[in-house]
Amino acid sequence: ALLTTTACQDFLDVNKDPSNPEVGQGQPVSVFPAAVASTAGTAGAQYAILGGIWSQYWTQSATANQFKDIDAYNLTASSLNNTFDEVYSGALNDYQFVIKKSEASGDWFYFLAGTVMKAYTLQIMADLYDKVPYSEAFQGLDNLTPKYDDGDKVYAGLIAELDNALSKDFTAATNSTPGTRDIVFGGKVDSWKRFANTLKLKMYLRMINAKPTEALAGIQKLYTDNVGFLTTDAAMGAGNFQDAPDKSNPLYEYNNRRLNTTTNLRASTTFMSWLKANNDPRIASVYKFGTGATTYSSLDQGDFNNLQSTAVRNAISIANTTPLAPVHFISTAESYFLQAEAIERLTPGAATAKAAYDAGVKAAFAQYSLDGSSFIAAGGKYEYPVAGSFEQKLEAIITQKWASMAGSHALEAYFEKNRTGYPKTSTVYSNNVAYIPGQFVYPKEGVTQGLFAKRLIFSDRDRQRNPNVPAMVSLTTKVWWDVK
Amino acid sequence: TVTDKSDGGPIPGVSILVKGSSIGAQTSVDGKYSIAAPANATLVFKFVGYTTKEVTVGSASTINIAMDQDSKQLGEVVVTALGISREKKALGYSTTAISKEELTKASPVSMMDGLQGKVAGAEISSQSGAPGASSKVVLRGYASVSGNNQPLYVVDGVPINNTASSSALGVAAGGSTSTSVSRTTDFGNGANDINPNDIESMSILKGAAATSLYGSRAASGVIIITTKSGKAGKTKVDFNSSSTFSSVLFTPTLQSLYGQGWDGSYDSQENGSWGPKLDGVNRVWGNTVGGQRLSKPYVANTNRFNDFYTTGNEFNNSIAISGGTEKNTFYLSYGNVSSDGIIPTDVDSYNRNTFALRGSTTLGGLKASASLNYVTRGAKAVSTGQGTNTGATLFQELIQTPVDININTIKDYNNVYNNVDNYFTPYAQNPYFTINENGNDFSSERLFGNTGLDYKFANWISAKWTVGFDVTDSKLKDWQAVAAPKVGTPNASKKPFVGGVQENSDFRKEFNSDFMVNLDQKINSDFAINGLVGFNVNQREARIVNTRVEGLILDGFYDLSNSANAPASSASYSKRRLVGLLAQANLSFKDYLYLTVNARNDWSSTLPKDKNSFFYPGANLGFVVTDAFKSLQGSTLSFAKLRASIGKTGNDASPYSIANYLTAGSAALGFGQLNFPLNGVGSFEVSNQIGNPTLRPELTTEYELGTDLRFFNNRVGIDLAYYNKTTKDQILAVPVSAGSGYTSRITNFGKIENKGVELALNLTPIKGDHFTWDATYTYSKLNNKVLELPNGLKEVVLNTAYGVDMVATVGQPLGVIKGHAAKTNAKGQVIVNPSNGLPIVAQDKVAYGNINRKFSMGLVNRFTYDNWALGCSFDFRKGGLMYSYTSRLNDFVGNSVRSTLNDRRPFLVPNSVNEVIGTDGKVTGYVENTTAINMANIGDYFNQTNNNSASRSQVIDKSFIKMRDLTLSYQFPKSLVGALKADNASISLYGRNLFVWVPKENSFIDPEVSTFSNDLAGEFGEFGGGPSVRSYGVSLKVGF
Repeated sequence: ALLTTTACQDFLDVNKDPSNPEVGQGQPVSVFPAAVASTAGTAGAQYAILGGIWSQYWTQSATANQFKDIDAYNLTASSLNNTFDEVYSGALNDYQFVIKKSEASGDWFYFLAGTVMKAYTLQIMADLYDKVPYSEAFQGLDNLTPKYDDGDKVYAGLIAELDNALSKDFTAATNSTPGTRDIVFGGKVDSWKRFANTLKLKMYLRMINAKPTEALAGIQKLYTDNVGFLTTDAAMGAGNFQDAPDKSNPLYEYNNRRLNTTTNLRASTTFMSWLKANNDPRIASVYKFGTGATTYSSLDQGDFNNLQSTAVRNAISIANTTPLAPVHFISTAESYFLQAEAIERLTPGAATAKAAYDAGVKAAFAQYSLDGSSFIAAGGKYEYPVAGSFEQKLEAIITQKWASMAGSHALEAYFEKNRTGYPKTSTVYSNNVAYIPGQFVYPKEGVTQGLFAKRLIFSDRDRQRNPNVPAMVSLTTKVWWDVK
Repeated sequence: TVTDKSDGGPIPGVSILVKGSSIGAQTSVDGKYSIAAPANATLVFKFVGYTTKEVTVGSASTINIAMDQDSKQLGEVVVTALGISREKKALGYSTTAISKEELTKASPVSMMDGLQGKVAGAEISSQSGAPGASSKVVLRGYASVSGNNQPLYVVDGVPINNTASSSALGVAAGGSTSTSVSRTTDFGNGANDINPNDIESMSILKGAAATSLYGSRAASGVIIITTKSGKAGKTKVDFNSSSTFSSVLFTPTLQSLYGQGWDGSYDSQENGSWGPKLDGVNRVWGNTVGGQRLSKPYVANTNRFNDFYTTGNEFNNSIAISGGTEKNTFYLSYGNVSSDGIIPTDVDSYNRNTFALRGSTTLGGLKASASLNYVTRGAKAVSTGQGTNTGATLFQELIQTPVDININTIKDYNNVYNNVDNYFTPYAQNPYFTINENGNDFSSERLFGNTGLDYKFANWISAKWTVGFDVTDSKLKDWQAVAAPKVGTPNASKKPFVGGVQENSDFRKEFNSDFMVNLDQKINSDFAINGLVGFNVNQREARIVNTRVEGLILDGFYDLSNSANAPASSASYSKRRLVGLLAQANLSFKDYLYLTVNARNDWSSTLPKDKNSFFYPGANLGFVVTDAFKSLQGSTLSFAKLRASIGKTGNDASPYSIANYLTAGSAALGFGQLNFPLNGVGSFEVSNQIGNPTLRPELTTEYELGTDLRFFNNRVGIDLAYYNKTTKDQILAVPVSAGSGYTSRITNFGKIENKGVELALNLTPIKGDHFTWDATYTYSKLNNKVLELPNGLKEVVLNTAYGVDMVATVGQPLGVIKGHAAKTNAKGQVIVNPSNGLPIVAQDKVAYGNINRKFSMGLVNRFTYDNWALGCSFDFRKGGLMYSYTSRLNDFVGNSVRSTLNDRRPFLVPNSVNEVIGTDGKVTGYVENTTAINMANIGDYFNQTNNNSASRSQVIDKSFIKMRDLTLSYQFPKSLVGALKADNASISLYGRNLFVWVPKENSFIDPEVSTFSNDLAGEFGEFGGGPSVRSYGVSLKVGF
């Protein structure tokens, strides 16, 4: 009886962590930046490496090892489990916290920002895995085994969430004005609206072949409502990074600062041959010379077991990743390319399509402070095929989009290749004289017998923890929107 | 006068009784006594630790007797929970008492090092051969998946801090669950601060019945240490000095057929031995410097490790002065250990100073005592793991040396051919650079002790209040040098090591107060009862501050200021309190039936406020058959006892486990992370772990049955115990589906069962006037099983490296090791990639086996011939798997013997097929594989990154037999030592870990080595660990 007295219980009341605040003390403005960094740190690092190799900008160096499993399509259910976990617990759950907290306080600024980033991040996951936890996700102890939703259901849900967030009153006094603590747009709500709308456009286009009616109607509505699309980068930008440990561009941090070999990512012949064939100056921005080299050279995709001499292998150009490069969520160029395609689908031949395409190419060059005007001018290498068929126009748009994404944004190019088939796939390997520069080749050491990787395999770590993980689906099975 | 027969010294406190009467007396400090006894009476002399002696008075007025020490420890006193001394005979559970002689036989630095293989049911290992390395002690198997399975150490009744001072990069000390593969450093565990020479005795309490009085701290057993104290009588001086030398015991075996190169071709820049056959022909090697190149014969240098490692030394000196009067006693000691391990330079060194001061005084019924220990420790330890961007680690670099390179030729790491710019390979660092330029300094100061007041109110009641404390303040500085090859030099393509400095400060404080009332009542001549009630308060605090900086701007200067980057800092505090009420009653009937019941209730600060009270009962029964039925006792059966016991112990939660927290903003990238603040913006995010407001303590229930049998006048003794222990409601951060928004939640979960048998066989095959042979054989077998995991959870990953996991799976022993396997078809044929002939990996991992031993056994022999004694002991542990990165890396660089498979000619994977894939992407059939693995791919076959299923061969059998010690000692005769005015003197020659035998598949590493921790996580194996050592030395003991 003595010990159940208050005095004793007070003596035992020391179980409050002095080093970490309790969760109730969290506010959107303090939680949001870490969540954005998690999106940038996954989409812009591990997934950018995967996307960059599968988009054939880069291939695994023959003098190193790190990404052989990606380049050979030799991923298993235990590959990339950490990244899946980081996205859900490090990014999405924090967005959900921001959404809930801001909804309760009528802070529609953060309600929108949180919703847009959640939608952006989840859409990537749905595209990578086809089915992901969504409707039952982020419930903590209330649901420890959320079911996986079909990709199209995830899309529909996210679009509805975006519409709801866009409908709020952003002039209300309850809105935050975070300024620079909004590390994406510096607190500009108009930019967040544009991001929301451009993201919707991207999602409608992504589902255009699988659900054409619904997709076209959605795009039509965006244009009818005359919403604004992004004219600036939606990105975790250069200003957010420093050239310092644990502070730089995540792809650089991962691939250059932390890996013991910084030359794993070498130039793939696929992209480099295209840049060379077009005399494109971006070659010097996306690659750097290999050891002792003074010219750009490349390795055929997946040919990391060749028997060339060490000197030749070392001389192959290396992916030029830099500490201050932005992580684009949707780049300006991408926004224009999305618009160009949308316009061609809604109003074929409209002059605004060419204008959007031209703006896209210029924005793509401008990413590296280069001027792309001469390339889109009449007779230029990348002149818009005004007179061409829809497919020729689509090929031009998607090829230029592909050319704009070598870096932290590489994953998006991989999705677009799967959706549209562009750049085309070669019938011969890239060391063949008949090879057409820029066409995708099946990686030399690929283990899937000629079939390209189309998705990621459900995480076996999640399978151990959640009986609702769907049955195993192979890496080469297409996702729901990949029906062309 | 009553004296000790063996040393002639007086024995104070011997009780003398006139048989059949109540007349009694006690010997004084000088062993004298007087008693009024009738003629022809029989006097009974009784004293613990001695054989009871009866003498008929007759007409003598003075009776001097010499009492025999009880060699077979019948009537032996063991110290049980809370420091209570009890006759071993009365105990209903198994305990192992270790004498001071046994502890210090081979002059170990750590008290546990002398006990490997000697205690049934205890698995004792050292983490590596480095000086001051942590000891691992696991009693009756791993029961807690939470990773805390080390026993509680109690010194003179007060629990002490046994935290391991390990350091993983960026992680503060104390990581008992460290799973880091980057840079880990072991500076030893807290219990190793105790000077073995200060120990009087040690009791190892393994089962829950023996330990349940410690309640929520005793789930992993308790080691009770009683230190030496002064005795009334002449002031004694004891001096011990030992010098030990060590050399490398176990190193990887290298192939000696193929030399430097890769993919079958000679390449003088490679870090591996995938080159052509060694032909003895002179070849140029290394880089061209100033237009010059070196040349050397292309032959194997398999003596690499013997050339690299040096002879280590260890000097262990201690002196103790003790003495006192009837009322006051004192004990004063100083010990110093100074050692330097086998790695060249002093990067592996250890220095320890121990000061002990103890005293007691008696005033009427009041006895006051105090004990104060001060320990300073200074250490340097070689980091293990694969290194980081700040610097390399030694063993990783040493392995990456082709077999034809003579290690002596790269020793001068400043030589133009061996320096950072021109070292022969850009893929590795000169190991001599690593040890000479990277390093650390660890120092700790520790003060622990207790004060006690003991008051005897009456013969049957006394009270005791003990206050103990343990304060450790340790500091670590760790640094790596910049190693950046200059532009234009041969190694320019190598990624520079940017250098770094880390400062870690670790402060721990433990406070403990025990108040106990002891009662002792003899009810009648048959029944006696004694017992106690007590009250315990315990508080443990920690404060850890860690700061590190990377990217140094000045060479050779190691300070946090030396960088263009801002330092990264973290601090953590923890405080926990525990209050306990306890009681114990011992009932005895006619000196042959003993029943003890005990109970404790704990209130813990780490558990939810309204549910923080927990009850731990226990009971044990000892029945001495040979005393109950005297007729059974005879020349064959000398003694027989049956034991039965049951008990409950527990484990409360870690502090701060019940709430949800925010953590400093950070994003994991795969390699590296983004840490806030980022350019002026700070952030906190929701922790990925969910706290649990309804936690219960982890509970272990154990029952034990045993017997103690002695035959042939105690010449043969058998101590057998069977136990069954079930641990449930384990507290662990259990992984959860990330879809929930979190990756783990703290919960009570699961049930783990450990059932086992322990046998100790004591034999005295020969006992003569001059020559005696004693032997002890111990055997333990343990079956461990995970009975339950929480709903929906199939397994819990406990540790992982390179695709190999150690997991807990229902129905399996704790610690299943699983990893990748080759994909096979229904017929079991291996599916290979037709383009290169390498096996394709199966989607699901498979179980390779588990970490647990099939059995362990030990054998100790001791031969004495007059003043000579010869002893040796063996430790045999059979079964269990471990992950070995040393194996992986040796395979990768083609140095391992198995990498010469098929003489490195192209080969087909046996029984292999290719999949036939239809247009829809589905497998339609299989065709025989005709693609041989060619020279370009043989290296890939052994490279686990390319051939995932190669991890199976990198998980190795960790069985071993070790000769733990071999000692030869000589006790100088009294006549000789007397001339030197000494009481006794002895000299010993000893060897420790002289030989090891392992299964053939392990040609890589001593299976006791672990780099992960000295607990469950460490059973997973090693990641770039160092070698073990053999030691030999001489010691001298003199007492005045």
